[in-house]
Amino acid sequence: MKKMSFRKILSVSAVAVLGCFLSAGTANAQELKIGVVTTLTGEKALTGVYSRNGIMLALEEINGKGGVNGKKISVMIEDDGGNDAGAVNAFNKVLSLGADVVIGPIYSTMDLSMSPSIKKAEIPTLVIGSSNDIAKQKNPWMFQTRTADAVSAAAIANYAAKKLGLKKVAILHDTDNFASGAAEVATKTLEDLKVPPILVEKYNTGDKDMTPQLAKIRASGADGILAWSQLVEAGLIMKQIQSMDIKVPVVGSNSYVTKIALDLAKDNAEGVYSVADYVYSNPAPWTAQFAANYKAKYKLESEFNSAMNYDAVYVIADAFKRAGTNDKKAMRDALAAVKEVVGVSTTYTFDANNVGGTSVAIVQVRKGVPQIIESVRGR
Amino acid sequence: MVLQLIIASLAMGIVYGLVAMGFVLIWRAVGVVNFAQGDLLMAGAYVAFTLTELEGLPMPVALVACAAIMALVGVVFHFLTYWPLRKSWDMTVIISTIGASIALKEIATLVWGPAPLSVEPIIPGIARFASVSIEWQFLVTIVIAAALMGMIFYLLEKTYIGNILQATAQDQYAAELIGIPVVVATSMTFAISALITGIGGMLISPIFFVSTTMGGSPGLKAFAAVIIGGFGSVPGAIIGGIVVGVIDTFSGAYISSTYRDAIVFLCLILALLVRPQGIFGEKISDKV
Repeated sequence: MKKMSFRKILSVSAVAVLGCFLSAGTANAQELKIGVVTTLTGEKALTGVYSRNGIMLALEEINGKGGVNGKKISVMIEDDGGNDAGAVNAFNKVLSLGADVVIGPIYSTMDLSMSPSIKKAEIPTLVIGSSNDIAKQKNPWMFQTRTADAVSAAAIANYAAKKLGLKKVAILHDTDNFASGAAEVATKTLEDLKVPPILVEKYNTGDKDMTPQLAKIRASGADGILAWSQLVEAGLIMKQIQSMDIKVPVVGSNSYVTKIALDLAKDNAEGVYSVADYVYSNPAPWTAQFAANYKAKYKLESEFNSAMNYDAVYVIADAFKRAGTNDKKAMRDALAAVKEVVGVSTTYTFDANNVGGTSVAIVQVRKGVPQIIESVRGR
Repeated sequence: MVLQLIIASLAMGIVYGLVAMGFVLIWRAVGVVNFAQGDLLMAGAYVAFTLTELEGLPMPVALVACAAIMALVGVVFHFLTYWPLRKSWDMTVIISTIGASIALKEIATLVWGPAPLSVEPIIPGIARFASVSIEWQFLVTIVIAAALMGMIFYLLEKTYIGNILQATAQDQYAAELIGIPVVVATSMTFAISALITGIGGMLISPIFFVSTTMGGSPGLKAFAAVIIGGFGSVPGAIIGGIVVGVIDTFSGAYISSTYRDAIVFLCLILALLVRPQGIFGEKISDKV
């Protein structure tokens, strides 16, 4: 066999980048059809599994009780492959399958890329991304069914500066839209509190070795670390902070108190604080029941992905109950009027910009379990 | 801080070197780039998880068992992705390795689930000396990987088996004429390639955890190491790996942690411009 040339290697590399999209949806002649755009393949497939589990659990409960006003709800799930173009394609797919309402991905960039299509199709869509940019779209058809970063990032910064009394905070964050946006809000909040961060360090999603960033943070003499990360990186960062002997408080995003990150970090997670939309150990009755049901059904602890998608189905059910029809305009108006709907992750009230989540919790890991210290109502 | 960075970059670099060696061995033997090399690293990490966390084998036994299993994986990989296609266009084999890359990830998801896993280190705890505070596993990785590299190098250069492998790599037809069973030689090359890459995966699994996508970035960086070191050269792969590891870590600390990957690949482009044949490479005209 002849050896291949560099040009061939390059052209093959290009081919290797192309992904394929799998569809896992079924359309049913039911009363209300929810189209779901989530990530089932690729690097972010784990979040999609949680999202789907949460949605299926809510659906089972609602339909098990006879549906809404006697009408059943069905879902069709489309894979977005974990990227923006895939999200738009999957959105168009669920539209063509006749969805009445859509639940969008947990990743803000994907939600933002879907926004023009949502507006054009005039279909009520609940997105789970937390970026502040979602509200800035002023898209009357897009509903942010989550507490925005403006609330949670400010809560982290406030807690670090006021309650923990940190004066020289270092910020460490992923370069993705969610983490960058949140870090910006936190920086602003800290500046307003007259304790600006002494160092802001970043890493790219998927980076494993944080030695360079943490070595700089250690050398800077920071008295605390605020961090925004996805699941695996959260586990890695907690472990590497301990192995590098950095003995300062760590306040992280929700990922830091997920079961996955805690299992990875083990003892290294002890004492870590987090601002969380949801923790599986929340003792509130409605939330505890969800956590128990979820664990019984899937043999796995629930995460914020599953909780927020579960909530989204109940928010839709609430709107559907009041709208009494699957007409898109009526559903949109009913969603906009959602008020004080108690979910397992927060209480939902849509404001003028269609932002729904109202609160976050401050959590600390104690003896390996995240414990809620206080709840912060953002508005 | 500098010493800390040197140790971390050496550990990363030597693992890139192992993967790069895996690339080079297969390239030399059959003339194709194996796009699933990074996924063999991932496979090694999952095998290590199964042996240590699920089966509870002691570390030295697990290390040997992991090597044996990965060699077997290499042989199976050879017979599934290369051997049936050996007479066809080389592009066909490359596409088949890309297919294998996707298949390996999805198999791992099916067998071990989508959640990332953690593995106990060979020596637990943290080493503290001078201003350094680093997991022992970083040092263990450097030692074991270097020893493994030495063994493979000896095998290839000084032993009869090495001669057979090299002869087959140079000219399969001529090797066959003098009575070398080519199928044995090529499958053995794939076995060695999978073994060293898999052990690389086992070594870094306690540091960076085990996930289905963990092979992606080391695979790419090892590919850069192969080109910097010189395509087809085993010592080049090792040196290239360490160079990439050092650039990666130090650019992250002193230039920009956001653009450290970009800086690595920028250096790759510079290396191609200045010395396209790589540090130890043959002339480019021989390669094409």
